[in-house]
Amino acid sequence: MTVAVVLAYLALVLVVGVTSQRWLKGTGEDYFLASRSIGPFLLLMSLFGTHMTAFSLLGASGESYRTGVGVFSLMASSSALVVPAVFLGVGVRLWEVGKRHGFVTQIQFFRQRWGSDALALVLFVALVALLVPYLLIGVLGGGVTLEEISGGALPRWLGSLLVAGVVTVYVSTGGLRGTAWANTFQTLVFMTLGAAAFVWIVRDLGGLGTALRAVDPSLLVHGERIPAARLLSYTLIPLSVGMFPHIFMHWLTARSRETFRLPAVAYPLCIAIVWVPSVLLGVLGSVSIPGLAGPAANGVLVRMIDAHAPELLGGLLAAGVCAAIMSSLDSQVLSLATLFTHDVAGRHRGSAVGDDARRVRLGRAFVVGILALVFGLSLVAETSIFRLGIWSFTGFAALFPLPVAALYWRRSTAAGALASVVVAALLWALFFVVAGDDPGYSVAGTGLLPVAVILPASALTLVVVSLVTRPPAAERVERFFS
Amino acid sequence: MGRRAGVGLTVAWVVLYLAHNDFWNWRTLSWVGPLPAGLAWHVGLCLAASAVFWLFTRSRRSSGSGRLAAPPGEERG
Repeated sequence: MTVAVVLAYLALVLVVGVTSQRWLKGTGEDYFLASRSIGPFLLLMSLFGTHMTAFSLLGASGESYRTGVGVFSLMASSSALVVPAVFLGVGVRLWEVGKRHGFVTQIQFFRQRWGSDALALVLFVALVALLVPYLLIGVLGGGVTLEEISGGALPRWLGSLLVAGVVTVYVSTGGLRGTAWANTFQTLVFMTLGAAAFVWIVRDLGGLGTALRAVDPSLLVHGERIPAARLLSYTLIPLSVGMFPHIFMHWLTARSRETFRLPAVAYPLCIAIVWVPSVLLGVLGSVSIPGLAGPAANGVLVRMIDAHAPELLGGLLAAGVCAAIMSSLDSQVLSLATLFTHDVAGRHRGSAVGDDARRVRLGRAFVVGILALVFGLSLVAETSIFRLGIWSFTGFAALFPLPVAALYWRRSTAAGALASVVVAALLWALFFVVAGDDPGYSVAGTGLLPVAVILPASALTLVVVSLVTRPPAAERVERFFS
Repeated sequence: MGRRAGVGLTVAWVVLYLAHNDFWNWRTLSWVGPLPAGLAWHVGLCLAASAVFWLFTRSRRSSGSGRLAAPPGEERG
């Protein structure tokens, strides 16, 4: 029954995504940016659904199971404060510049802002390298979910294949319009069903107060697990939203500047609606289903549903988890396809892909190819979804000085931006190697996350190198600041 | 948006950011309704953040600074 409900849901998502194809105009701008026509509600659902991943639901409940409810302060409330500020401070300005100059990708913006092909190439490599692990989170999460709810009848590889397959079909056929529609539908599904599941499970456990009092008290406080320095440095992680290619792509789809208002105001509320149940079910799982270790803890949410909800609701909720996963995976894949078709193939094959129809065909082929690659990687990857996410977010957050300098600092130079990316990449690699498999790694045991070092170093490099190199041409600067 | 409103809302955001580092809440377990106090504090921060962003976007609209001039349409990417 549960598996049947999930399969029916996947079929429904396919219908929603593919139906949007009827509104496709056949142009590149329509396929990749939905003709910049998305309104406030669709933008909110797209941005929120895209930002909430398997990391938010499975990773958060898994991490809460291991370290307690303090995970809410690490990722949820810090995102509620920082992400809308980035929407308003960076997103709106990028939208204006993107509309004025006809940009489709971040790479196009940075290339023209600073006039450097070398910077564009390095940035392309960095963005792709950081986005692939993020894609892996989604495909792995889909596999874990379907394996758990089916009691092993659907092996992890088959679950990952189903999720990747459905996303491949509706993204490749519907483009960004299909992705936005499917995202909206799926975001509503996972928010509604998540809340319903939470209420049901808590009632089954005798009420929230009663259930929480059975939990180990050390899981209900930060204690020694989350030192103050760690909490402080986690507030830097949500800056990653300013450099996510898929968020950039959704910003550009906005109909007008006013469209950003609803997403900025409603985002903190949406965060609370999704994360509070997820985190609480994680700690309650430590009582109901003790003994989960390592990546197995990421399955605690699904196991709780399985143990405490009726089979039909269990199936619907598992579908909700799949919804959260796919609503991120789709935008990430499409953003990679957009980067590839506009910044690699479009530039190096010249007129061969110059026309829209060819570019759309190439984009569709890329979507299929990249999801096949990520599915292959998911077969051999065995890691905590939370850790995978944190390293990916750290890399994107370290690049945040770039959009800020590009939008607000006239004196910033291509050399400064390039040096900043190189320093961020080197430090990221260094910390990744030094941290190894230690899930609680902090810089020299201070409690600080690597991002607290990499981000300031990247920003400082950008400032210093910009100041010691020749100022950018006034004509170029005026094109962006006039 | 008036300068005073802008400064006020920026200060409000900074206060929320500082309040996020609530190390005083997390040493001993206490309760706010059915929730642990530390968690309840951070849920409250989410609600307060939404209110601050609402005031911010509302003040921009009332001052007219939220309107976008017609794009000149120069140089396609």
